[in-house]
This record gives sequence, structure tokens and C-alpha cells, in this order.
Amino acid sequence: MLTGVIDNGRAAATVAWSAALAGEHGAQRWQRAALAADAAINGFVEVDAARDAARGDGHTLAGVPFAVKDNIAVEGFSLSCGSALLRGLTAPYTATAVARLQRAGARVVGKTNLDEFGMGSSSEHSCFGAVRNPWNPAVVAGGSSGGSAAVVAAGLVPFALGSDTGGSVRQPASFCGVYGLKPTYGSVSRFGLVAYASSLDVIGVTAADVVAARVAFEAMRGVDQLDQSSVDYPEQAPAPERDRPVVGIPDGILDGTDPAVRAAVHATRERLQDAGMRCVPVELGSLDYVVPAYYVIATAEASANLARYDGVRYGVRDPDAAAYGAADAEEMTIAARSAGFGAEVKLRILVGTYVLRSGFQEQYYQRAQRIRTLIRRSFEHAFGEVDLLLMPTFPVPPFAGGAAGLDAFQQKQGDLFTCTANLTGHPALAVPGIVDGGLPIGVQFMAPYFREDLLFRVAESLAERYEAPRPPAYLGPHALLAAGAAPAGEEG
Amino acid sequence: MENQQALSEAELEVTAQMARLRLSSAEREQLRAGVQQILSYFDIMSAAEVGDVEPTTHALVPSNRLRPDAVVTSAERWPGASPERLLEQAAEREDDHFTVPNVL
Repeated sequence: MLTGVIDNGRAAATVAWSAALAGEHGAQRWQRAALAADAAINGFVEVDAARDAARGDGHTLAGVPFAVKDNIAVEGFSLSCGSALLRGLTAPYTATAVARLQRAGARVVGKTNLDEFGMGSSSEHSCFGAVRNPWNPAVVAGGSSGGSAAVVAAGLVPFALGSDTGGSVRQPASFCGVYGLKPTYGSVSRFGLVAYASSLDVIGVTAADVVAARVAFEAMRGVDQLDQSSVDYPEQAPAPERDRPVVGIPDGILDGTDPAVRAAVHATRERLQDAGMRCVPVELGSLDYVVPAYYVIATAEASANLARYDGVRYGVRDPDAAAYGAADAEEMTIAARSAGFGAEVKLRILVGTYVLRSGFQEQYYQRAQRIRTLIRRSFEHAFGEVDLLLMPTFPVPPFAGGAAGLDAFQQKQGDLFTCTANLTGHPALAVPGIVDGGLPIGVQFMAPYFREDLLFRVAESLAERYEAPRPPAYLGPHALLAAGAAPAGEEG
Repeated sequence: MENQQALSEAELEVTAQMARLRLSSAEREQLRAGVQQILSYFDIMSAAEVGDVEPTTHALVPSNRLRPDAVVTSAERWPGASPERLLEQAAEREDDHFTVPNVL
């Protein structure tokens, strides 16, 4: 296990990856093997290992391949957001977070599948079809960054970018048995991230190795003139007050959760105690209002953000618009939106439009924002007593796809543990917990603002005590090379 | 505690018009039930004692940030985003223009 090893300033776990893609045929081999492996999981919407190969003068991630969720712009690559409305759209510029990784030497090799515009918890709501979990194809990969979690878990790339509005990086990471970081709000520029709910959205990273997640985050973070909400990231973490972080477990946080989820939290607590860390109960107050307040704010902001899709300058116009009699521009817009948006997106736009209607704002949006203040206060109070919080990521293990799984409303209620960090802006990291019944179950840590260092420290300590298993079909850099090797004589 | 009244078809239709969406009859039925379910769920919030607590619009709000007052062309800022590149994304174009149905 290479976790924790930094070799000459580079994460050792990523070095093998740059070697795998190096040389004349490296990209070809990777591409061949990755496409073959992806057929089982549908994690990629576009794969091209050669397009971004010219860069790589940076050091920390030199030559390391990574994938990017298809709602984050990479010049020359797709930017569909998983929506029929934007299918075929090519990004004309590159998101700041991606550009910073490229400057550190990393190269984009593909775009990943997602719930349309990031709206979902299962990665089934995509115009490209559902992502399947590498551990079991009958089970969802989680969402909305399900493609980014699945391609990492399957060992096709060492890390991938996702976006996290209510848990969309952490929940799929937990479902696929990998790490998933949701940084402090504003610490990674949102320039080039297609907006869903702007006060909650943040670009995060899924990774098979905690050091890879840390190195990627450190390359991406920091203020950006192109994003007004981006913030200066403190260069030095404050000196620790204690030798070992104290981890709080909120009272009653496991009530109503699945026994396997409780087992994952208990196993993690024992590992923390083995490592000499103290775990203490902490009072958080009621979380009853978290999910409704979150969905009021998320849908309200979504309805405003998605108003930009009018079919004028980009996007697919409804080929049947003539049937609607699209004689004027407004009809054209209505036809494009009605044909292009999927059912879940329409649902959220309608809810968001409704709660912002004149006469309802105090009842919904403003009330939700006041509740948001109360939630933030209770977490800030908790962080006065402990350094980190340990919580489940999702109340149930990875669930079955289709009608056999959770319905859309149950999935929303399941966002309870993750969406708090989006409402408060705190950083959070999903960490592999246990494997139960052949499926991974992760747990989640939350930390004070800008204390990602604490999250990585505790995750690295846990990784020394628990080597997270890989799914049976895991490839990784070495197997990828062998799997992608062409028959003798075909290359060159 | 205030109870959410059932969302009428007319209310759904007005909301859909505001959102520039046209719903098929099957969608109307499904989405009315879906929106209603979520709005009823939102009613839990009416029990929260929020008093005159200040609303939070953003978790961390930086102060207003100004860039230096110097000309930066869009070509310098976003080398890929040339007018031609942007026009290539259009569903319909004519020369250097996006084409839309008549607006007048």
C-alpha cells in the first residue's frame, strides 16, 4: 500500500500512473483498456487520452491522468451536464480548478457521467444512461458524481473531479469505496463549473488514495479573480492545540440508520481509538430542518441558474419545435427546455420557481436561510469542543438501481448527513469504512473552515489501520498497461 | 403549524409558465404529485423557531473584490473562447450571428 508516501514531492500512488501513460503507446494502451473496462460501469461520457498530452511541465502531478465530471469545463472536451439539452456541447475554455491541475502536470483523459446538472443521488438521471457500481452492476454508484467515483474505484484513473452541492462527491465516493473530498466553500474556484446552486456548489475530488486527494486539492485551491466567491486559502494550518485530534460523534446521529452503516461508524471509531485519538459524544441539536432547508435553497437557486438555458446561443433546440408551432423566440425557448430537461430537473425547477413566487418567499426561501444560520451556529459551537466530527455519509448502504432502489424522495431525505456541510460551508471528507455483503460503506468527517489538513491527517492515520479493499475488477496502473497492450505488431 | 394546501393544476401551470416549461399531460400528473410531496415536506420548517435570526446567503462571504483597473481582453483571459469558437456552439447560425425565430 502506497498511502501516505510522498516521493520527492510527488504522491507515490500517482507516480505509477504517469509511468503507465508515458511513452509512445501509453495513451493508446490506457484508452483501449479504459474503454473496455468502462463498458461494465458506464462511468465515462467521453474518453481521449491523447488530447491533453502536450502539457505536463509541472512537477507534483507530472503526467498523472485524471477524469473530470461532465459539468466542469475542459477546453475541447464535452460539457453535456448529462442533459439532452447540452448534448454535443464542447467547452470553449477550461475551469480554473482543471487549469491548475494541468499546470501541476496532470492531464485530462476523459469526462465522467453524472445525474443531469448534478441533480440526483444515484447517477441514473443522465441522458447517457445510468452509471453502474464497480462492486456490483445491479447497485447504483451514488450521485451525482457517480461517474467520477466509479472510474476511480474501478482503477481507471487515480483521481477525478466532481462537484458537491449536497453530497454529490462524498456519497458516490462512499458507495464506491473511495475517498471523496468536499472542500471548504470558496476554497476551490467555481469558474468553469456549470452552476446548480451557487451558494452550495463546490468542486471536489474522488480518489483511490488519500494522498492523491490531498495533492490534487492543494494544486486546485486558492482565490481566483474569475470567481467572486473564491477565498484566500491560509497557507499555513494553525499550530495544533492538541497532539491528536479529538473526534466528536453527534448524539443520536445513528438513529434510524441501517445496521451496516452503524457498523461502518463503529469500526472507524475503533480504528481512531487504536490510533490514540479520543472520540467523544457531541451535542448538535436538531437536524430535523436540515433537508427541507437545503432543498428550498438548492431548488430556488437552481431555478434561477437554469433559466439561462434558452436554446439561443448553445444547446439543442427541439427538433420537433415545429410541432409546437415555434413561431417566435419564446416558443423556441419553451420547446428547447421542455424537450431537453429530464424529469428530475423539471421537478426541481418547478419547486424552486414555486418557492420564489411572490407571496411565498418569507414562508420558504427566507425561512430556510434563517434555519441555515441556526445550523451553521450549531456546527460552529460543536467545533469549539472537538476538532472533527464523524458521521455516516448516507443512512443506508449502496442501493439497487431502478425501481428496486430508493425512490427520488427517499434519496433526497438521505442527503441529511452530507448536505449540512454545504449549508454551513465546512469541509468534509468521505473515507472508506467497511465492506459488507460485497458492497463498500464509507463514513464522513467534517472539519472547521480551511482545516482540510485535519481531514487528511485523520484519513491517512486510518489508512494505516485499514487497507480499503478494491472491487474484484479493479485494474490500476499496472494491470491497465497489460490489459491495454495490443497484440504483437499492432502498435508502432 | 400551517398546512400546505394541495397544489392545484392551475397553480402548477402558472409555475411552469414562469419556468418556461410546457408539460405533457403525463408529466403534469407526475410532477404535480412530486412538487406537492416536496412542498408538504417543506412545511416541517414552519415549526422552527427562527425569530429574527439573520439569514445566511453564503457560508463564507468574502468582501467585494476588485481587479486592477486595466484592460484585459477576453482573448487574453480565455484564449479558447474566440467568437468563432462560441458561434460554433449555436444550434443555428448565419454568418456571425445566432439565428432565432422572429422576435418582432
